[in-house]
Amino acid sequence: MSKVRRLAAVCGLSLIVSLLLAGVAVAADQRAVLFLETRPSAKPEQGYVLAARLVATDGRPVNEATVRFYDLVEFFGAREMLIGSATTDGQGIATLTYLPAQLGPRAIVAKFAGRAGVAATEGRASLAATVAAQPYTVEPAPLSAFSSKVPYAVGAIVLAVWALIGFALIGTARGVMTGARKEGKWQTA
Amino acid sequence: MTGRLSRREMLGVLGGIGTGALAAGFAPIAFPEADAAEPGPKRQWAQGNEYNMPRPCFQCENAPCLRVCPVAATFQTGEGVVLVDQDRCIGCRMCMAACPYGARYFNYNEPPGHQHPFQHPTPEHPVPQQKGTVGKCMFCVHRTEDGKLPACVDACGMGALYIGDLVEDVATNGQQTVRLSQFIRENDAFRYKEELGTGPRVYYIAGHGQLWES
Amino acid sequence: MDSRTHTRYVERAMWPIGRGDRKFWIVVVVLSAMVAAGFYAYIYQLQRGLWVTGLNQKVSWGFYIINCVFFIGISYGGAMTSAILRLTNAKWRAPLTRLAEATAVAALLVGAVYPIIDLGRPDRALHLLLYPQVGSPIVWDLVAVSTYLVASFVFLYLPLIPDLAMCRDTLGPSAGRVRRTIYRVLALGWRGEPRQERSLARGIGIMAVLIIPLAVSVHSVLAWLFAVTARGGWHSTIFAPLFVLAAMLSGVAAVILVVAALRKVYGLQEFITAKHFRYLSYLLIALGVGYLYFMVSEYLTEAYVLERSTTPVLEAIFEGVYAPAFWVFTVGGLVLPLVVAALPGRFAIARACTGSALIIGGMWLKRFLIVVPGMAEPVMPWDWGRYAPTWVEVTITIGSAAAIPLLLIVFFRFFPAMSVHEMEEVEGAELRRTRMVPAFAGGGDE
Repeated sequence: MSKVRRLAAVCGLSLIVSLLLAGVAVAADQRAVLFLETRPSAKPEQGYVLAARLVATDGRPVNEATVRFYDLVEFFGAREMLIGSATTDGQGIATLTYLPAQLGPRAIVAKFAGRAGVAATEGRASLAATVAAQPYTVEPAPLSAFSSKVPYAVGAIVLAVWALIGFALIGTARGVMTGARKEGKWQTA
Repeated sequence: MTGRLSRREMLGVLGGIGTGALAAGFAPIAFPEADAAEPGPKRQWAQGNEYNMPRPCFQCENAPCLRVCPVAATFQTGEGVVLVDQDRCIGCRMCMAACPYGARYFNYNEPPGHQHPFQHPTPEHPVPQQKGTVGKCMFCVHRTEDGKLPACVDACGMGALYIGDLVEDVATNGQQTVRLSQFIRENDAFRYKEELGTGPRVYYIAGHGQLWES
Repeated sequence: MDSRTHTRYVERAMWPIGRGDRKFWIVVVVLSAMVAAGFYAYIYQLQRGLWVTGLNQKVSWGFYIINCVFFIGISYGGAMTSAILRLTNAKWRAPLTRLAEATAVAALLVGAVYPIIDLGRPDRALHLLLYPQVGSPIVWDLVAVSTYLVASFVFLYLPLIPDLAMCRDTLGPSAGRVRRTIYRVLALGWRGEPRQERSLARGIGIMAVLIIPLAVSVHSVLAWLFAVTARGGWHSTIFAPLFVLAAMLSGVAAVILVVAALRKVYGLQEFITAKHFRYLSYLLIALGVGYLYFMVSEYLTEAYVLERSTTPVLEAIFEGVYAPAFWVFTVGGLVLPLVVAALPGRFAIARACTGSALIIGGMWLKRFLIVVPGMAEPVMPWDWGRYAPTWVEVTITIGSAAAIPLLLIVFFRFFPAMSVHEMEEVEGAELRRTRMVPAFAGGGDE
């Protein structure tokens, strides 16, 4: 809309036509303001209530409007993570409970996409999260306590086997060689 | 946070598959020519009769390929991505036998990629790959390090592929960013062969008219 | 055994030593040419990489892994036959043990090379020693096979000591100085003293006991290479015993063939008679029936439940692309040879040899049926993998198969083909009852 108006003002091609257009636009889309506030939920473990109040410039609340709530995150660049959406009631208030994934300060945005008669708008608020959802944890591999000991047992067996082979070879060789020092003759039959 | 993922990555696969872009073919979508450094054979997609099924590496929590490697060439980064140290890999292909998803490939031939005179591939940046070693989808660690989305997510015109962070609980397909746990729950996402207990971290979202069968 | 027979026995045992007539050289040249062709193929593969084989992304294990399992299996039978016959004190073993033990070592040397041939980066084979991860079945393989290899060498060497002494004493200057020095050193001053006899009997006894669990471990570990994966055709608890039995079966069959061939070539007919072949056939039949039982047990449990992961493999094996191979193996490579070997009556040697040859072929097919369908089976919803070997794999396989007789011929050119000492011992046992104490208990003279 503003583009249309700026175009009209700068170019000044047809004053009447542009004024008419601007007038139609203003008449069609009333501006609205979105006030966003965050507060802890009644049950703190459930997180925070994000409450968006959508009010038209003439002071009347905008009801039956869909408000989308976003959390501003850094994930491969700044992104708006969709938390969810809610519809405004008779007072123009839309609420959503949000339990952040992590503690710490967060920036929340509520957006109203606009509809016939009401222009799009958005509101911002911050949130210092002191409760968060259960963190993602990696469970240790099953049986890891047991399987970490198995190599030692098997290693001991392997060493024992090697010792036995060594004994069979070296022991026999020693026995044969010491036996040879004694007097004696090899019998062929 | 930069593009580097905090701890545990996942790749979500939205069920837009079977329509439009993905139906047209397979891997070239995932490996755009613009990024010719992309490793490996372009066989990352399974094609069924009813649907096309993207098959990245599932980056299992309890990865079978990790355990069977005789020289510990396969390792898991802090983010949970399973990578192959191609300077150590001896090419025995035991991991290919162990992978329940067939997600690994062997570089039978000289793999494609720029042979940069000064840059040698490192375990965390195995690009270009080495002949005679095993390679795999690595969630494009060489791109995510630079804050870029994985090539498949970036390239999917339908926005069917999401990459997410399970700890930060966020996922994005490049255009739209969602809360991961919520997204999975609301879309009845499932993990392929979850019953094997390997803890795969790729989720599929069905229910777009495809017939799913294992 | 009278002294004339004994003289004759010694003469025949020593006959191949230093023998070099034209036939011998022709055989050596032909076998060497085959081995050289195998080497050429391997160098060809080394230069170009594994893409010259029929291996691909879906079927990434093929002929090399099959051959590894197959040849180590053959080796197994040799060691096992010798050890079992020793421990059970079977008297008829005396002329056979040396052949069996040598077969074991030769086949093992060939089989142990295959994992290296299969590597994508053989130049990094040393990494297995530098960075071993104990959780990997391949490291288990490395440990088990190297232990078994050393044990097989010791098991071959110890009973050889008295015979080396005999070579040292009886071979004249014709043997050459180097060889005589080798005999002298290796014989360790053996003179047949009672004390020497005792330590030798103890050493052989330990090795005979040890070689059996070692051989079992080698083949179990080879089976676990497959069974620890999540693939439908492989993830089976019965795999280890199945592999062990398969190895024994093919090994005994190989021993029968080797014994029959060398008996002819070296003129040992007097000492290795139809009786020996009949006994070996009994061993073969017992193992074959056992194998059949294990196989039925495996397939029955899998085919009854029909899990989704195993069903495609079973379908492919019983009625799909691999059905011809499977039924040829089952009928022609297992049931038929057992019947042929079990029949009473004449031609015991010919029947034993026919049965053994069929079983060896069958067991190779069976290994193929384990490795390839298990690999080719789709783990994801896609098509089956395909595998056809190229000339490289075939040439290497043939070359390695030729290496076994070559190694045996070369070995027996320098060392006695039959254990003279053992024959004396067995004969002596009839005279001296105390000799019946099991060898591993240190069965001494008194």
